[in-house]
Amino acid sequence: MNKKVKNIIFSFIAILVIIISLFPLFWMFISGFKAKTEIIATPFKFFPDTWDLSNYLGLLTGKTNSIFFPRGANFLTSMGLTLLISLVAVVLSILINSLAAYAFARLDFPFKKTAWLYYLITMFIPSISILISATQVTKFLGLTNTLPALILPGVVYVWSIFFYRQFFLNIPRSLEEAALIDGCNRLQIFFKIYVPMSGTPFVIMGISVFQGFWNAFIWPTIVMKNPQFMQVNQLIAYFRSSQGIEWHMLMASSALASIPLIVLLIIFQKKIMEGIRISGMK
Amino acid sequence: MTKIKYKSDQVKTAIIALLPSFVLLTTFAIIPIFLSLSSSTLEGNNYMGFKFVGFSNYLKVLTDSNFWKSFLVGFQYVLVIVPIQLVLAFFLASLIIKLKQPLQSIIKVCIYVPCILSGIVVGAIFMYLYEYDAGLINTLLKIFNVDKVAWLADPKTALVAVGIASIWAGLGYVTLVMLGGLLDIPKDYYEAASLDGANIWQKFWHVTLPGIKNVGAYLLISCFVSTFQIFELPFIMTGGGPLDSTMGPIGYIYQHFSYDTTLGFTYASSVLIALFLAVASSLVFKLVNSSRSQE
Repeated sequence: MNKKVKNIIFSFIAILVIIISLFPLFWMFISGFKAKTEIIATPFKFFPDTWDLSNYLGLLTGKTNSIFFPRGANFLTSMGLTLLISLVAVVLSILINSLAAYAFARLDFPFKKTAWLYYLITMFIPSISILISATQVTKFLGLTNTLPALILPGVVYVWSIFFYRQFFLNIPRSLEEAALIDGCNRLQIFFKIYVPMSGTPFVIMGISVFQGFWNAFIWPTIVMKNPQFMQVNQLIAYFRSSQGIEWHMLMASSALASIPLIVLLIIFQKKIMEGIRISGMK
Repeated sequence: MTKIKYKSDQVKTAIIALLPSFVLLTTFAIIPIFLSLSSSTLEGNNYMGFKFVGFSNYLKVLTDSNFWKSFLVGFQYVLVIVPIQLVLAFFLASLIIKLKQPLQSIIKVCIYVPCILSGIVVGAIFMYLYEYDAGLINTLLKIFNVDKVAWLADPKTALVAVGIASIWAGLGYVTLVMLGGLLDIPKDYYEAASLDGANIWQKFWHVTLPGIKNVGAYLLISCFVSTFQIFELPFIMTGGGPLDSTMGPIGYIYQHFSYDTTLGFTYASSVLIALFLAVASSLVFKLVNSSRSQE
């Protein structure tokens, strides 16, 4: 009996926690269906009187009834572009970082220790200290307002090199020795043996890179002033202008921006949980 | 010393494999570090030219009361957010361990949902919840006959209100990492403690706490560093106001970067904040590493 009561109490708390975790999101999605006047109307209504599709449809068709939205910007295009940029960044990040990890895990070359230190040092430097100077470098390279400026600075992620290296070190050397005898060179060995075996670490890191790029705000805000190329979160922030807040658009655009992430979490929940566990072992 | 012979194919491959990351890392991390350091000693702007002024920018930053205020706000965020997050995460993780399937798997995914959202989205959601006239929180308070609160416009409540949003957005991750730590404690330890007649508190003190020390230290440092650098939530929710009461160090830098034409001052302040964070985190890192090597 005592144990049963305990179980019921635990389950009750758990359900309460689930509600607290999900309700604000649910509220955001519902609020996106409220018309401009209804969303801040008193007396308060939980569900909208009429489910107004115009906020969502406006964002998706480029006909937003917003006065703060930057001219020339299109929310749907921005979602597509942000998706494209995030995916390119994921691919580049996996390729470039795992190649570096392979060199550190399996190859002998001069100044290896020094090079490793050179990489590791950047893990301990708060990104804020280089935010502004990285902007200057981007300007110097003529990349301001271009798509590469959104991608390149965030591609190398030393923690992921560290993580891949650890994984590669556990792959038995005997596999590559057989391939060497078959006449493969070291680069072929990487692509034919190491890459196919690294699905799990690639997915774990890939998701976290995707999330970082999809959610990016401060860096795009600084380097991207062209409304056509603005990233999703940049555009959302326009609905909260210093002259006023367009709640209906703010909620609808936030809801749309969250959908890809929620889908990703549902599809890859097992890998994501595994990734979190590993990040705790840092 | 014997000279190590390098095989040319390995060296060649290493160069190819490291080149892209080396170039990007150097361009967007190493060079900016030195640029930040050197530019912090300059005064002027792109139009007027620059001149070397030594440490005077640093002196200006250190004597700017707003800089210290933003530092204080950063610490206030840490005090409001980090302890609550860690304690809540501990209890929640202990609860999750005891749950049966499928509830256990469901709650693990559900509490992580807020963690995947961007700071801007989380800020937007909570801003609407806190809204003065039509916000859900003030509406609920009205049912209990409590007066409306201007959560984000009152300097007394704004920081805590932003802090609550931050706790909501971060708790899932902290809990799941904590859960990993708890699961790594061997069950025999608890059984042995029970045999010795240990009560719940003794078990907590002698088994659980030492068992999650590493994970706890990792969480403490990462929560501290990320909370101290909180930016997007206050940026969208309050714009740093009212009366700069929610503007942390990053907000301070961003404000100077946006409105100040002389970059040296901004560079100096970012170097100082980075230095503080690096020292703080390396101290804890050392602490964790020394306790690891004892095992």
